[in-house]
Amino acid sequence: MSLLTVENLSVVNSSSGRLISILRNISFSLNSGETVAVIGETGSGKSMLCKSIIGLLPPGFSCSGNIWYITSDNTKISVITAEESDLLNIRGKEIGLVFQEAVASLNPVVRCGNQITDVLSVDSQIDKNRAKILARKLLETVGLSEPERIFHTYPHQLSGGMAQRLALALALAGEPRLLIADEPSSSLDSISKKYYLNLLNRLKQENNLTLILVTHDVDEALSFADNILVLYAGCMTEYGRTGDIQNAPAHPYTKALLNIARALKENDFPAPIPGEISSLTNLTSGCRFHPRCPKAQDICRAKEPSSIDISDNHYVRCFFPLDTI
Amino acid sequence: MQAGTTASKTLLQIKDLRIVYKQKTTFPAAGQTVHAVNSVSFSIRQGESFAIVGRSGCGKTSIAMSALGFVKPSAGTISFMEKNIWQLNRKDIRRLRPLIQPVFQDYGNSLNPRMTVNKIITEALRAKPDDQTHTDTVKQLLDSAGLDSGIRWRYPHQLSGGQKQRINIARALALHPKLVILDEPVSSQDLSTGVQLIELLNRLKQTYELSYLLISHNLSTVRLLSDQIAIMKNGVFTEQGPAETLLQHPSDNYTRELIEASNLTNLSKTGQV
Repeated sequence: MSLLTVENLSVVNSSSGRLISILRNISFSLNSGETVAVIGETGSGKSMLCKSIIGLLPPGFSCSGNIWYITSDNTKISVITAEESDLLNIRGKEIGLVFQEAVASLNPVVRCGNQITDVLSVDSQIDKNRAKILARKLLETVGLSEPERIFHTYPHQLSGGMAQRLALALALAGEPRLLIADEPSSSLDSISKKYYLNLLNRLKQENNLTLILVTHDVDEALSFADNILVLYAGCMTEYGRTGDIQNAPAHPYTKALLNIARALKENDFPAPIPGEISSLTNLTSGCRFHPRCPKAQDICRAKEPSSIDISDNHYVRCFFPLDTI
Repeated sequence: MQAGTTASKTLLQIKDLRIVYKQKTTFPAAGQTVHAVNSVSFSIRQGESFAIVGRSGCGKTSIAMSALGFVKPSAGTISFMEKNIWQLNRKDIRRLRPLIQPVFQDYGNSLNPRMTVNKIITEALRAKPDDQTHTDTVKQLLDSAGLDSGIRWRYPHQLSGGQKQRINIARALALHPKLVILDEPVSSQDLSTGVQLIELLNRLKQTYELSYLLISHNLSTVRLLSDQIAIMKNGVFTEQGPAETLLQHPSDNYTRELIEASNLTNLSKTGQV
């Protein structure tokens, strides 16, 4: 049974008085220990997908469809319909979240160590002294040398890479089974980024973590994930195993992203995708990618494509999927 | 690959630059000194693009801030068009300042949230009293930055990340600069938007014969924008040379380490780089 199942998830923002579709018909499932990378341009709805899964949508946003999560005691709960008290039992404990802006997600006036002990103390069985020992151990686990010194520092005294690792330690404090990492390495330099991803990889293996990695770095997704979910303007344009997506992308958007990543790797000048991602407040009819699609035809402008099975566990939303053979 | 530029006269020359910060108030580091930049020398010729690459905190932005006249060097000289910018009087500095324009990494916070795009760019144009045709100029600048002129009545929060950075670029161009200092111009952007911006910056460089001082930690994007690259570590340049040569045949271990780190295949399971 899958740890997480997302079924036809749609998110709508009605805070401005009109309905704005943020996510539309997202479906995927995640088995224990698996990693899915969510890729797409800024504004494609990646972060909103994370917030939906953890039940933290801002006021004025509403969900339809379903998000099923299997808890450690084998209870199946629906994140969308569950009571807030039930969500509190899984949020930060069963499901950990690492935010994109690590420094902004840390409390600037609380010492780093105390931020971890605060999380640990939510569990009433852990006393203060034990929490301090565990916090130092967590700092060590995430590769922060001198845990004793780091324990007493404030977030502003840490470098970007250290702050990001501290944020990871905080997310791990609740011993989550599912970790959602929202662009955890996008602000890091290349050496810190590689160190961080290696660390995440090691912790994933050691703790059998299930991971949702949100990134706009295609290379990072390809090297890290078992499955890839491609989002474009709130729509899931393609989903499949990493190898399938890498070797036989079916959606023109996925192919364009892969081409850019490949060109950068092979020291060529990449061809950018023409135009900009459609604004969610001003969506055109039909396929959301059609204004930028080199293969767009009349039907793409008129109708929204439905999901097509390309092969086992490989889906695409396109009227003219690319030749995947 | 980046089109080569026939270099002409030297525009910016930095000799033996040292920048030392003294921690004044922050306990427990009060009184400590930080040697951010140590004996850094380089020059940028007209139409040339020079990149400084290194990890966060290595001193890259300090050099840029010093060249912009925001951070006073502890030692060394910064000459722009053969004038030491730190020895100029206020009148000369005002004359020179439009010629060096920055584009910052934090594209959102660089734009006043209470101003429309039109006002943001017009404000920059006010520094140039001879320009009386602001409306046309704003439209031309937006066009140069690849934006539709209709965008000028929007506020920053109504723009995408890529559009905001294009506005920053348009504003930098407003004063006809000779040198644009690009501090991580695409690092916060997604892959596709980043490539579009690099293409735009390359085009503007050719069209307006601009020189760039590019600050970045990402070698794969630096490669697309630079003629010369300097690798910086702990305040010093560890290697410096033509972009192609340096990336194809790095002679320093640290350069090799940076190149290796930008390749994410074969991630280690032990947590080691």
